[in-house]
Amino acid sequence: MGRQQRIDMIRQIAELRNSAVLCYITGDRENVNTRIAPDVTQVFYRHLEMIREHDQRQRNQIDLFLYTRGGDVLTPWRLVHLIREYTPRFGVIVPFRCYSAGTLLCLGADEIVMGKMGELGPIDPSVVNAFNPQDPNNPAARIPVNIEDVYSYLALAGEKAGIWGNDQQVKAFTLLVERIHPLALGNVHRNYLLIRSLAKKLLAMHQQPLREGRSEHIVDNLTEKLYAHNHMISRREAAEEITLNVLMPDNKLEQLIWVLYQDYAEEMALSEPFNPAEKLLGSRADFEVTSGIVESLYGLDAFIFSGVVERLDFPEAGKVNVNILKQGWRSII
Amino acid sequence: MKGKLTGRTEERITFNYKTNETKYYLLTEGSGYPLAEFAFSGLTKCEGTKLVVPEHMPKTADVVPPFEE
Repeated sequence: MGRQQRIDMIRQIAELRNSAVLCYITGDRENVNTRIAPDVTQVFYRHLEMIREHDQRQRNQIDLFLYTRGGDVLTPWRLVHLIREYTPRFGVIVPFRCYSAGTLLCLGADEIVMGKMGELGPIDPSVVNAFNPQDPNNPAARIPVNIEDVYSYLALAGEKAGIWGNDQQVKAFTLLVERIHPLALGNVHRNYLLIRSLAKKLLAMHQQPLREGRSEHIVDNLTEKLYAHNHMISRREAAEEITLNVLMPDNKLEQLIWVLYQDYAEEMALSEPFNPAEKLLGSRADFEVTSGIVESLYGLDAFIFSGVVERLDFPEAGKVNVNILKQGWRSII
Repeated sequence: MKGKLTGRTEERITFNYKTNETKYYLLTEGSGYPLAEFAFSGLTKCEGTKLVVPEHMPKTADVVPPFEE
């Protein structure tokens, strides 16, 4: 399928939901991923302006069709504010994966539409900066530190190991600092506070305010009570245990949501690793690959990696070199 | 195939313990998150801090066990 078929599906979803629909896919194709990041904000603005101009349904609701593994945790806050500039009611449609920063974005929505394959994830990000520990298998790389792992260690030291004395707590902390740079730990603590603050503020943006204590229950569940960063939260768990405002679509809507996701997955070849060497017939070839999409009825933007693949004779004969010359969002329509 | 005399099972059983291997990606401040093994002569300074990070992406779909005849 192509854009014309997707437009038909987006239009049908919009009619069923009585909303204006904006689609945002961050590709998780092996070797050429994209993630939620601040540079998408301007792309959203372009589409929201077009929606405002052409689509009366935005006065009722805007639905964001979202597939993502996550990304920058501050961007959802900016995107939810931007979307709410255009509509009194905001929904997120989750066809499949919507992890980490994607789940955070869902917290700012009045309603989360989850199909049977819809998955949310914990909002317990791993943080990385130049002070993070070196990866022993690759000295050029830094190992991300999971925020909840650090707090889990401190809780273990305090509760399970029976370390109650002040001196011993200091010792446990010193042990941690010997392995993780203080500035990396500072970054962990800052993000620990940030993620909870952002989650609560996003929940407070709902059209219908949450009853007392529910916001804390949701945030606690999505941060420290899931115990595994790769925990996949089904729609039933999201609705019944975490108490998110989840809507289970009827069969017609469910099918439309899934077929639309599959079309994006096929167009971006999400299930096939990107290997530019396959395109190499001679010794050099240019390539472009789309790894992210923002689409509405009125336009299409793609995140494109452009580069060159070359087969080298020197220093190692037959070695393939891939050079990314450009990457960024491009307005296609 | 089962041995008639011993009753021992001689069927070959294959266990597939293949896991998703860790790869290294280039983390920038933008949306792009490509494999760090690529060269990036075109990335500008305005793309901010660049860090190489290991990434383990569990696949919940499209993982098909190898079929052996």
